[in-house]
Amino acid sequence: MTADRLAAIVIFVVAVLYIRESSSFRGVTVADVVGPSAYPMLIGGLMAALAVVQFIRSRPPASAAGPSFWTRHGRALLLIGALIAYTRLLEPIGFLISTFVYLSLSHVWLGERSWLRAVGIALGVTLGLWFLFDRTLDLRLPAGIFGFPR
Amino acid sequence: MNEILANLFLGFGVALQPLNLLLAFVGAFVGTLIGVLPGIGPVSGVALLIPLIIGLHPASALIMLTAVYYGTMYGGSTTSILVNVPGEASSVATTFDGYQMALQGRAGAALAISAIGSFIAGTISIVALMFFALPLARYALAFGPAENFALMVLGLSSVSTLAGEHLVKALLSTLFGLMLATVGTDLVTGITRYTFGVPQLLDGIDLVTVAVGLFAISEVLLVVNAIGGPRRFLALQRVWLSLRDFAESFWAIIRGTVLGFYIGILPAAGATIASFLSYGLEKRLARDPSTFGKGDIRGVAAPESANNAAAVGNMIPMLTLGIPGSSTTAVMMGALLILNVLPGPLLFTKHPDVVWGLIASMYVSNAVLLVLNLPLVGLFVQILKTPERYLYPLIVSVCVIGVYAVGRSEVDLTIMILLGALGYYMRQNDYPLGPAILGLVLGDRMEQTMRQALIISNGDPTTFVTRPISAVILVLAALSLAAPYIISRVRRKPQRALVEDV
Repeated sequence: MTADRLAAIVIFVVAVLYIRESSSFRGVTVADVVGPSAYPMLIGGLMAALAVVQFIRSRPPASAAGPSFWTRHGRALLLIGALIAYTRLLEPIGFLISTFVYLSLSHVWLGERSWLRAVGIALGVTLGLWFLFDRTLDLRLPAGIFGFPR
Repeated sequence: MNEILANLFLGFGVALQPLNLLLAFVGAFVGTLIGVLPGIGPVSGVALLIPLIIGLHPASALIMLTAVYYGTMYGGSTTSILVNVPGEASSVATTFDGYQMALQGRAGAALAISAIGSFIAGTISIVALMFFALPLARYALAFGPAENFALMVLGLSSVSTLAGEHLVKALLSTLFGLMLATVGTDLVTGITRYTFGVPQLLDGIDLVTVAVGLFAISEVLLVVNAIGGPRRFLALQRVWLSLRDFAESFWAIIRGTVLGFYIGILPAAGATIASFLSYGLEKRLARDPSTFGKGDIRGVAAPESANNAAAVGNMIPMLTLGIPGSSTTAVMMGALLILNVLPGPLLFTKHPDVVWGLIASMYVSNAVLLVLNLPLVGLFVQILKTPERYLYPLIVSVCVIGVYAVGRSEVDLTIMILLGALGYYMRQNDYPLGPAILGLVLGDRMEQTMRQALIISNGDPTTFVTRPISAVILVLAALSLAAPYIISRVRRKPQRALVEDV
């Protein structure tokens, strides 16, 4: 099964679920002859139809052998995991600590040999971002357990 | 004519206010920075600045975003010339001769002609914009919901046609964007759709979240696999241009401007196509085409002028019809919608200060970039030299801050990561990302106009094809979808599509 075929099946299922969900929309407006579900049904229908086209037209790749799934996507998946952890911790422990930890670990992960430099640069960047966005531009980043009086 | 002058006077009054002038300066600088940085392109760059402009006057906000947009184009060409890495798709054509020139020690001349060409192109196209926009806006005033719906269909279908090699995948991307737009509260009936009980979704999925996730995060995910590879930097001497260089490229600049502007006006055909076409045109017109690709200065002048002219031309369908011509203008239009300014023909009568302030500020940004960038090129090169292991984590943190700032909610960040992963898959499997953004921005209005048109016609769907203007636009949309098939029939060998960011 090629990636495109698999994707076509996934897209088709999503489109069908999308249409199914839309059938539950009930709107009560006298003038609105179309209602809130017609347009989603149209989009979902087109999407399902295109998924079928993609399924039929996709061809198997000429050479299937390549680097394994983990060699190709391992680092990206690890970064996704790190991002989930980073964003989950943002509100509970605050911007300063979570960003500092995320940056330090990332620097080392991406090839920084000296821990001292990784941590030092992370500290500088974190404070710089915080001063710029929180203090100067007033975007109010989460303070977490390490709150600064404003 | 008098009317245009009066309006321009009004516009400069707005653009030269100290705050707006400052915003143009900051925007141009930040934009160039964004253009130079890997990972954040014009789409996510403009999107990340949206949280900062909320609360500003719409004219000021648009002035800043335009300056940023302009800046990213300049920044993109800098990296094209010096590192052979185009900051964005519309500066790919610049790498052909720009990097070759740099290898021959003429990086300064390449950078100078790119700045001067862009400046000339920008200035000429802004004049053309003033003459085109007003009549078009007047004409579009007569459009009803059916015509507007048809226009959006045309915009989306032509974007899908031009967005990549695979029409089906481009259309799927478009539909995905339209799907995301239906999440939230239905404006007509007030019921909630596709929110699955998550209160943060009641207002829909935010444009910033989608743009940053789909474009920036996916790019970083893609790059972490390749970090640590060797990069070459070329020595840069003074940014300087001899009179002979300028004379040689003058007509290339003018031709690039005219071509770029007209291509920019077409819905969906953006700066990328313009830059490739003008490069091709110059090569064809040259007495000795073999010098192209080996450091011919015209090969830098033409695409650089064309992509700037197209960026200005792109503003016309956005301002007059409310149909953005590229992903970046789509994000800018999204920003205007957030500020409660609806682009379209009424914009010219309702918010003349916004329109004319923007047009005047384009002149200002152009001048700002010229004086800012030639001396500051050295600084931007230093930024480029920052090791990637420090640069990419920083970019991710900036994305997190930007997305969090919009709604102060963890849900947005989770959606950003999910879309980042999806964008990573889409980039690797030839699904273009641009159509999804365009679909998201146009989706709401597309549904509203469809429903209004059907209310007017008492539910009769033939209204879209019996009203003449709407019918013509829909036929154009159908033709634009069929065009690649017709062309490939005629030409046997289908040409690889060049566009990534329309």
